[in-house]
Amino acid sequence: MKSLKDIERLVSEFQTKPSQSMDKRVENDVRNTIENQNKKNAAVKQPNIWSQIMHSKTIKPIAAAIIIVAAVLGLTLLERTVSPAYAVEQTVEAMRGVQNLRLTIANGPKPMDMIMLINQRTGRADHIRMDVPDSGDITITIPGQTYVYNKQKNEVTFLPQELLRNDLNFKDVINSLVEQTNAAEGRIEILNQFNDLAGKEVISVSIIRKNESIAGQFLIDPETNLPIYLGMDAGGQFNYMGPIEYNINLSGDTFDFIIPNGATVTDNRPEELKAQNPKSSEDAEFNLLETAMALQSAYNGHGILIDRQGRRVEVWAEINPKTGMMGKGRLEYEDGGLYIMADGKTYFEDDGIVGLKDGHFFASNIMFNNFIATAAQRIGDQDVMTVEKTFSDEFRREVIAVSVKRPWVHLDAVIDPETKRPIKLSVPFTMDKTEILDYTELIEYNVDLPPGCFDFETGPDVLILGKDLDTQFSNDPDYGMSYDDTEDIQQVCRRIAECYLQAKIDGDIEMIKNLHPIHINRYGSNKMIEQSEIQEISSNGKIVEILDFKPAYEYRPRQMMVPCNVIKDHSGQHQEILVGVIVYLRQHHGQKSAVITGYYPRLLGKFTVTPDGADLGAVTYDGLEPGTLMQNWLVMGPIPVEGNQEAHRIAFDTLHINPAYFEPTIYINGKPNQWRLLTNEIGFIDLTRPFQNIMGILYAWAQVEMPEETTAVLGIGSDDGVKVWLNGQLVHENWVSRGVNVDNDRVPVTFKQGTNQLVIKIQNQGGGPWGFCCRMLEE
Amino acid sequence: MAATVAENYFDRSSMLEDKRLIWKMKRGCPEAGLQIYEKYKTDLLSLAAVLSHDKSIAEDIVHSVFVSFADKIADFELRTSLKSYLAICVSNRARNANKLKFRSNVTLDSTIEMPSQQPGPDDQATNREDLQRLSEFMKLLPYEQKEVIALHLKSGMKFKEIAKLQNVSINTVQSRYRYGLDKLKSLFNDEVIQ
Repeated sequence: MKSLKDIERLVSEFQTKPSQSMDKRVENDVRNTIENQNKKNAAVKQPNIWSQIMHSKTIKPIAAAIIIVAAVLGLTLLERTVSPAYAVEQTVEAMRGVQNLRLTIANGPKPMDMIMLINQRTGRADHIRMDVPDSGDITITIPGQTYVYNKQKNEVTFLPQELLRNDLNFKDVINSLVEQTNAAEGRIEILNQFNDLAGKEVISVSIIRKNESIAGQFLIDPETNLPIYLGMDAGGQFNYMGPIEYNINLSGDTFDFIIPNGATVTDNRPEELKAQNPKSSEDAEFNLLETAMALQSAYNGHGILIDRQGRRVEVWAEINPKTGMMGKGRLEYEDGGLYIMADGKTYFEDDGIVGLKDGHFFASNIMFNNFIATAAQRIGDQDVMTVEKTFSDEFRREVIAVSVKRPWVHLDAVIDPETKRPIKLSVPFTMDKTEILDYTELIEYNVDLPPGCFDFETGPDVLILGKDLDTQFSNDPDYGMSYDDTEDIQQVCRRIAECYLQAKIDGDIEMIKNLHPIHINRYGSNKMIEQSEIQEISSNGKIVEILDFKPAYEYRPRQMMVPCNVIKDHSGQHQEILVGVIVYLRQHHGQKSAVITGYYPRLLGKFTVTPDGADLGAVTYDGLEPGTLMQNWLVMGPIPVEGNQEAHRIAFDTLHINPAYFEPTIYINGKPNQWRLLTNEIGFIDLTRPFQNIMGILYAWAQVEMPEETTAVLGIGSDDGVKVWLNGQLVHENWVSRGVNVDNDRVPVTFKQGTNQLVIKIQNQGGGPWGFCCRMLEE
Repeated sequence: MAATVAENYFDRSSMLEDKRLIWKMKRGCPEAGLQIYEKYKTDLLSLAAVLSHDKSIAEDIVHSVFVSFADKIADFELRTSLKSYLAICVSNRARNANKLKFRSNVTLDSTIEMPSQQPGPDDQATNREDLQRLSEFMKLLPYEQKEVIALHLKSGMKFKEIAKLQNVSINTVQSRYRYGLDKLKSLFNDEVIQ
């Protein structure tokens, strides 16, 4: 007799498996469909400067206007010496570097000075100050507010809106010119000419009406490619606005509202604006700083955390008042694990093992760091942050919802508006990261901690970890692989490393346990550890093939690092990655054996950086050995880049050196910079260790002697953006945020016979680690 | 409570994973499409098989759903769960396929492979037999009832979502579900069906 529940269960269990032919058919057809789309997209995305420019947020008003004019009407080149690419691309490029500008309007009925501050995030002028020298009148517009001072009447008026449209003064004028020109079926002329007003040779871009009269004109400085005068026909009279100066030194109070003595004030702004002088972009920042302040008064916390394996963990933390981080912690896992961190030690009961270890197992910042770091570092310009007050169904009250989108991470936080402290955090990694980390904490502060929350006892059954390696292995002499004095250490290292990596490929956990005992065995049969050994959860990707071994080198006393090229499967995509196996050469009662004590899923290698002043002789390669990463580079930098993604892009497009000729000293912003020699014994140039996670640019230079002209493919790995020049010619560029892998990009090049100059520009634009690697491929 | 939190976590984790895969597909990565296929193929094929009673038709349905999904990926936006979305696609195609089948008077066959679920060893034979019978009995249900049962139990869709799909009220969907299950129960228990 079957019940309804039985029927429901049966339907749920009903399963049909696809045939192999179906799998094959779907695989082929899905792959073909997507690849065909890729081809189509590639065809559509052929370099189209017009569409790229028109859709770029980085275009500033004047440049945009030029583009509009040119795009609408087409270019007529009267003067052949002017490159057709000039007015568009070069001026647009130049405009990208504009932080502010001053426009003087000397002619016309009302001479005036106008200063605009370009918001680097939006590309729009969001702070504008207009001074009328004759009358002394001042108008200042900042987002959401305007200040107007009438000197004659000594009156100040505050308005709750932006009086000067941020694009009014350039874009609209030009647009109207375009419209006029269009209506008159006009055209554009570009020519080099001497201009009396500018007092020098300029490039003039003129909008010519059908009747051959000039409707408007830009005079462009050929040195800077920036417009220095704008001219327009105002009812028969041709007026020039200018000169325009760029990136001037502005005083801190340029856009401040100052009420002159004795002035009458009419304040039409709402009450909340009267009380303060807010800038909308700083509101959110203010909240976060408040949060950071509020967290300083929290002395403990309690929360529920979902860890990256999806386990529910109850956390108690005592906050170190000096650092704001977790000083003591207790983590209770839903599956029974217990970790107590206190006084620099971690006590744990997990999977049947009771132990004590030096140091804290979990980052001591587990609960609070993200927020404090976010608040303390302020929100970077490349981050998109939204802050809004909203009603939370979960908390049944009004909360402040904060969302910070960074290039690699999206942080959501719910803040208690009263305490200003976060009560929920969620941090999923998405985008290019194949790993998804998502933890949510329901946090309460300053709670009564359970008695003895951070206490633990170390009885005789407690396994004390952290002793020296020989002691740790002493309870099992059979760990690892035996060797004797007749064997070459390189061979021994390679043998055990190969065996270990093969065990990872085969999923042979017993072999892994034997070769790499302290990692696995101290936790008994902890399934997560076993799984991570095989699948490398934390580093992504599973090793599927061993390619070749590099010579082992001494990593620590009696420990050798064995670098090995492997192929890893990253969610179906295969990548060549250099990994490192640490082999400990052990002696046990006269017996020698090699045991693995560490594994680096991505190897960085030892590095050295010399002081300033290295020369090219140190980085001259006598040919390149195919497949071998170049280990020595002269590096110049890092050149810090601040600001938003646009600023980074501008920096990427800016050339700080001459890649054709090596100059020992490079001047950047007037400061001399010298080259240093950076060597990395495996050629995987990690820039994080020598230069930290700085957001910036580094140039690397090497010289390659070739006996004859050689056509080759360079395998370039970069984190993040990269440009490559060979003998001064740009041969590759990739504006990208990614992690460095061997041969991220394959670049066909031709080395000339003799000396070749190879220059790489690396830009860390996504934050976090950065680096590069380069080799000639066997292709 | 803990289980609910964990389930929610896995749901969200799965959705995030789907979003990531869709994001990669949109950027031209075929492997992401194939990962989605791998993730949902068995569930979707089982659903299609229940609805069409023909494994080859079911395979055609799932194949066309994935190819069409890949074809339209550029404009695709994930609003609900991907699993539900794909289940709806399968269901729609299965309905169309059934109509065509009846038009062309193709007889229903029962070439559906039986399941590979693994209950305890003692129950295995009984369970296989039950599932075989279930496959036969499902054919006897009206399509709408079968669709509700399959979408609810096999694809985890809510009655509200199914109501929207079938363009009827939730009450109707719930009734179809109850009548369908009652009928299956009667068939299993050899009761006389009205």
